[in-house]
Amino acid sequence: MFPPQCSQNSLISSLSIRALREKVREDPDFLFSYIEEIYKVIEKHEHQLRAYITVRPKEEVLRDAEALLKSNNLGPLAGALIAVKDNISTSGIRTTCASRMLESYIPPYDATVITRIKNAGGIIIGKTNMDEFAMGSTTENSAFYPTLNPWDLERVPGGSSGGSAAAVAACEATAALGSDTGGSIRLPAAYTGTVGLKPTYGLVSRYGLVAYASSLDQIGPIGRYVEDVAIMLEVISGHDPKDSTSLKVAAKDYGSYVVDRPIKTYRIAVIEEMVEEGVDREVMAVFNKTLERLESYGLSVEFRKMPIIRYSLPVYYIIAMAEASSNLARYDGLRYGLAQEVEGRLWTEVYKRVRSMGFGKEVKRRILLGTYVLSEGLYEGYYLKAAKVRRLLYEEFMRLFKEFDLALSPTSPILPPRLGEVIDDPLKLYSLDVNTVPINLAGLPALSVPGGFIRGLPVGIQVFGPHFSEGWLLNVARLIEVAGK
Amino acid sequence: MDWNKLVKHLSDLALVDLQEDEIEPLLRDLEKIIKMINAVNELTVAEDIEPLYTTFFGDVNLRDDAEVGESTDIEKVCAVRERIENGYVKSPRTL
Repeated sequence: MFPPQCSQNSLISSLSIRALREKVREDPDFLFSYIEEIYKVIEKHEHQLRAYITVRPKEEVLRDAEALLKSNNLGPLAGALIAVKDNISTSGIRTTCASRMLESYIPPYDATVITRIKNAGGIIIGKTNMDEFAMGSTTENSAFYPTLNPWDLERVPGGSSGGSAAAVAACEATAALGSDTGGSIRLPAAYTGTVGLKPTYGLVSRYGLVAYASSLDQIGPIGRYVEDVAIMLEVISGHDPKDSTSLKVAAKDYGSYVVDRPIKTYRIAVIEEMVEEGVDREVMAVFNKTLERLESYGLSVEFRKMPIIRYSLPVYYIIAMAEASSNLARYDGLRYGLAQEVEGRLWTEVYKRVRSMGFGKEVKRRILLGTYVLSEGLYEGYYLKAAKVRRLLYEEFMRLFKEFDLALSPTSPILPPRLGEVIDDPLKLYSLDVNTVPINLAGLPALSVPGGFIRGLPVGIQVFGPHFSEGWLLNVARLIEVAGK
Repeated sequence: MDWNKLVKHLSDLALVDLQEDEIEPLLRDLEKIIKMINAVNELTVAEDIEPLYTTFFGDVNLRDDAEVGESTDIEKVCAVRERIENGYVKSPRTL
């Protein structure tokens, strides 16, 4: 099921990566018609949705297509138009992080994921809107404008990778890249009816990803189909010597897991604390229906308590804000980003002024709070304590996955909020991430797949598992996808 | 707690200047968020629990401290900054 922007147009715009690849291999000129079609969707709907910060001129993209066909590099992504979150470096294409601080920054290099996408035959179509420096859950924290949800233009698309998810849902791109620090791929996927995957920490290179909270950040794919996400993951994963935390693991054939039957009799856990208070009744109905469908495949589902998971939200925000305050110290107005006249002025004056003008409200709030939890006399009670609780949470997950193969939860406790509904209350805003942040704290892989619809709004199901269980997640996601058709 | 004093102190430490109209909503939000993160103090954690700072358990990729071969073109790198003189970034005074 696609939102109106997609279904109003020809079937071409909603092609899967595989279908597009087969068509292009059969008739290379088809790629030009496909590009024309996607730009028609953009011309018609982008002024409302505002999923992008930068859309590359069509002529440039057509030239890339011509070069691709000439090189005969019709790899796994042959001709796919990939939208990229604006915190991933793209050589020669503006990378703003949706911040005034980097409004005119044009990186001199590609992130490793971008190099891999290009090598696989993908073409970058543009850079997508996001919460500034990935800090937010609705894409309303963009310094430029909010992105709207294609299913209901009065609602948010989730965040922080809201532009990527909205572009994919509305057929303004074939697939997209997002980044996920506490749910920033999964939440927008849930709110836009797309599939979004956050890989195991270290599986995908972070080289070229603008850092927010380095122990939690991961790049991952967003697609309209589970198979698209599997193909994208296969392309972008694997060891990269340029990232000191890249794992030395071989790339897997993730596509082979996307089959319409369970490849094993999964034992599935539901953590009671993730489905208790605060979860909308209608969201729970879709979730329960999904469990029933999985049980009909012969899979077992059991409920388990994990009391420590209740502390995930405070632990996450302490750690993320501490790391953010340190990572964002690099915006000094000298090396890149917003600049100030320096002649005769003291560096503290220039530094303070640049940061005051360049950062938005949420970024300043997180820098100040990060400074607070790291400050003398408070460090032990906040940051150190949070790191210890993180260890306990991690060990609980390891115990859980000795008994179970995977776990399920609603991705978001509620349906997509209306614009302005949560943005003025930080606690309401942060609570959207309640089921997604524990996964990042433990470095686990997780995805969100549409489980059903309520009054025309999608409901996302989160599937997560032990490290490197991406194949199983994709297999179960495919079962949920098939059942929803 | 004197929240005004705290915000001023944090703004000095973090070198982030705040405009007058930013302070009032920030005070309100900080109070709420600090209450939320104080929940970690409900938990008693044994002293010998090893803090977990990263979930990366592989070998950290380090390279030899030697020439790496091809690198990004220096002119391309400098092009992102306007105030370059003789290959140096012009900075404000430190003293």
